[in-house]
Amino acid sequence: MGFMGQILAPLASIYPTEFSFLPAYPNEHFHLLRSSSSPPGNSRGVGTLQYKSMKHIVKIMTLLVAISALWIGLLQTSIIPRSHTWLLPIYFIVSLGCYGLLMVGVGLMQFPTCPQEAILLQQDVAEAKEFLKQKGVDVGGCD
Amino acid sequence: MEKHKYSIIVPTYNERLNIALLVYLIFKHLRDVDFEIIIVDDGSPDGTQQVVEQLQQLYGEDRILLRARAKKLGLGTAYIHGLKHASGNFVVIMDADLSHHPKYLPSFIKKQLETGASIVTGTRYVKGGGVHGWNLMRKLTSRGANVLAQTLLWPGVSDLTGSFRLYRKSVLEDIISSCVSKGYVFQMEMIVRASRKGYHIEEVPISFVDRVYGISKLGGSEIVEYLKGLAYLLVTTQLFHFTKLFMNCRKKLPELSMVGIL
Repeated sequence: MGFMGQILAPLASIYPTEFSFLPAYPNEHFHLLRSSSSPPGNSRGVGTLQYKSMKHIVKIMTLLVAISALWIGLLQTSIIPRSHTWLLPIYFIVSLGCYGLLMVGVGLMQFPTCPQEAILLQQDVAEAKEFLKQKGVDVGGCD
Repeated sequence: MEKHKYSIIVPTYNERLNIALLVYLIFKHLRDVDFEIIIVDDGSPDGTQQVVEQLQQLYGEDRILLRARAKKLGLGTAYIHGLKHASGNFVVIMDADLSHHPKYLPSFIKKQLETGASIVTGTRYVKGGGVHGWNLMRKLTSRGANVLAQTLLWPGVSDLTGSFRLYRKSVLEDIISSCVSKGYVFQMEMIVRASRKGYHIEEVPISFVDRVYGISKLGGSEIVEYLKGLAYLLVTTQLFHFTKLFMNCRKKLPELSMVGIL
């Protein structure tokens, strides 16, 4: 899950039903699915499906509301000078960029590699070739 | 318990050696499972189809299906083409170049049976998985692409561009019809759309040994294509939600829109 998702996951799980006053999200896929993939009589699956689609919207909305509330709040109360608060969205984007670069760096350092798998694969290839050659499948030529 | 059948769709183009090795390895690792291999060959000039015919002689024409097409028509349509001929209730999609090892197939099937998931996707970025044969540039691009997509799309899946996946057939049919992208982005679009539609997705670690025979391609144009695809997905799967919600609000709550007008 991404950065925003991580922030919002707890929020969404605390208030799962809080947003039920919103109209049911129009989910045409859900009808499609009911007719094609859900086993008949399984209404539980359909319910979860709709809930999940809702949850995504709730995540986006909560994030936007939280950020704008914070910003407007700061503008109103002027705890920090107004000129700074106006620049806050820019800081936000810059810090998001920094976060991204950091994650790329961390990811690069921890990139999982598997050199032993290459050796195992070579063995499998040799074994397969041996078998196929015996059975008369054409495996020569292009290596 | 109902009996499952797995249709393994393998698109090929000039993979005459790899396809033989792949088929052998699939049969080696899937012993007590009912499955068929559907090879969608895009008119390879190197004789891939002749090799497949030899394999059919060896393993049986009911286990290996050759569904060739006249010329190179792209990955997405290859899956749709293969899907039309699939008789299983589950579909596995994998590459023919042996970067996806058939030894992981049992873990895909096991995971699906345990969790009842609609999609099981192979991930290279968790413990137990990994990549071999990538240089620093390739790793950097891959990481950057992943972070960007994770932050913008929140897919809930750690590996978006991997294409080694197991789908419930009806689910694949549902999502494939709404996907329009090509190449790398196609894989990403499939999983993001599946996630948005609320399908249950599970992950299993896989290792990815880069093309044993052949050259991998990742240039500037691929990166541009990727960014374009990402922007497209951002608009259609994230922002589009809002427009829909807003429209629905107005339809259902006329008094609310009145307030808005006032």
